[in-house]
Amino acid sequence: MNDTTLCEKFSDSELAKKSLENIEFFACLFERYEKKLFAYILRSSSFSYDEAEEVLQESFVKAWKNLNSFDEDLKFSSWIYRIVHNTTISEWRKTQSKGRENMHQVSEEIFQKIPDELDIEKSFSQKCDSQHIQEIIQKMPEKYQKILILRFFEDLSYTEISDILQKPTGTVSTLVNRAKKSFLKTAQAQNIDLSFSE
Amino acid sequence: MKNAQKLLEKISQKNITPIPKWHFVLKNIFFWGIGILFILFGIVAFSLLLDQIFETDTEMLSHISPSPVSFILEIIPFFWIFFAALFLGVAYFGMSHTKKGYKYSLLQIWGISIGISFLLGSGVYASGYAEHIEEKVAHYVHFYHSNEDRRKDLWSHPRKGFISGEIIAIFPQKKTLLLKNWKEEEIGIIYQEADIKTHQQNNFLKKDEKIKIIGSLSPNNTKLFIATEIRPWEGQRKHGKFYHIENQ
Repeated sequence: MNDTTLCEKFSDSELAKKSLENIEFFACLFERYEKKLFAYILRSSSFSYDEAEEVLQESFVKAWKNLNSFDEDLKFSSWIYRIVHNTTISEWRKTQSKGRENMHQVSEEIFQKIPDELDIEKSFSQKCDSQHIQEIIQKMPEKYQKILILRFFEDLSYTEISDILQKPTGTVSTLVNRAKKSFLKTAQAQNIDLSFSE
Repeated sequence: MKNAQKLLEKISQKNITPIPKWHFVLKNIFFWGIGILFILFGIVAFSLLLDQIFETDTEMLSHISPSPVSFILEIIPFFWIFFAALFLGVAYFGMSHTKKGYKYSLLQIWGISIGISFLLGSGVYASGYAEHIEEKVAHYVHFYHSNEDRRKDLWSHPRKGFISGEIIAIFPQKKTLLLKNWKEEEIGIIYQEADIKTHQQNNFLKKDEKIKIIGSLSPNNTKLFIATEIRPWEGQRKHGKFYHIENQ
């Protein structure tokens, strides 16, 4: 059933509706978002690949249970991100209480992207690598880490973040600004060189 | 095995089915219900708050010296301010838990709730229903101190120059009367020099009438009060402006 061609014929909303009649369509939705959400779980926690996979499965089981609550006025991606986000946080907190440290896996590609999005006039110098960004993010307060990841790593709009975090758009905008400041402040506090080059 | 297939098997093995739609619809209705119900309570609380403010004899202020702070504190309707805030707080809780409630900030929801309560509460007060509701609340809620009781308290401070009660005997030739206060105590009133005010009615200084008096206690006798102003018990709000009548 869930061959790629068939899945591609339908929009997310249509697949969500069809899933209620035939669960095989739910697999289409899973496959459509699997990679993106898997990466998101890894970025916003320090789960291993196996653990992240388990969190993703758990999130989709929750999504299946609550499929009737999916509001078509909302993007399916925002809705599923919300479920994954909440599941990741709750699962991650469980492991943190067991003493595991927070580690973010940031790719080179992401590292290239942050400076522009942070509205810093010039790009980071080559001295500042992804390792530095990891260090900075690790030291930031959790609420800013999440918003930074959603806005700059996942490339989501304020409206989408508002739907995921279930906060007003104005609050999201404020949080993004604070997260930017927090990022720079943390970098300074950590003596991480954020000097810019032409 | 592909992850998607693994997911479907997991769902199938655990026999997990989607929660029915009516469950979510009902949940949404429940939170909307709480929001609307408590905004309605807020409207009532606001109308009673206005009723309490306007029911107070604010004209007493001009007779209080040196500082009217304690009087002002006494007339601020804390009870209804507290309940209006509480009701609007619960309304916010309900509204913010509806499907799209998260899109609105606390300030937006409170602003709208307070605006609606203010407008409709003023309407309820202006229609006169607030007074009836207040009487019902006073009847059924034992810890509630009614407007009438509060007024009686405010007008039962002979040492501060305020006294009230019911006329039990009147002696026009001597310009004196006998008053029974709300504690059933009898006090003699000399009204020779008093300014008598009424609402364009006939002289209300007669037996069984309820009155309020501004003046001072006799320095020699605590059961004797020298009146400088006498008014009918009911305030201006119910009967309109006061007029002077001849002190014959």
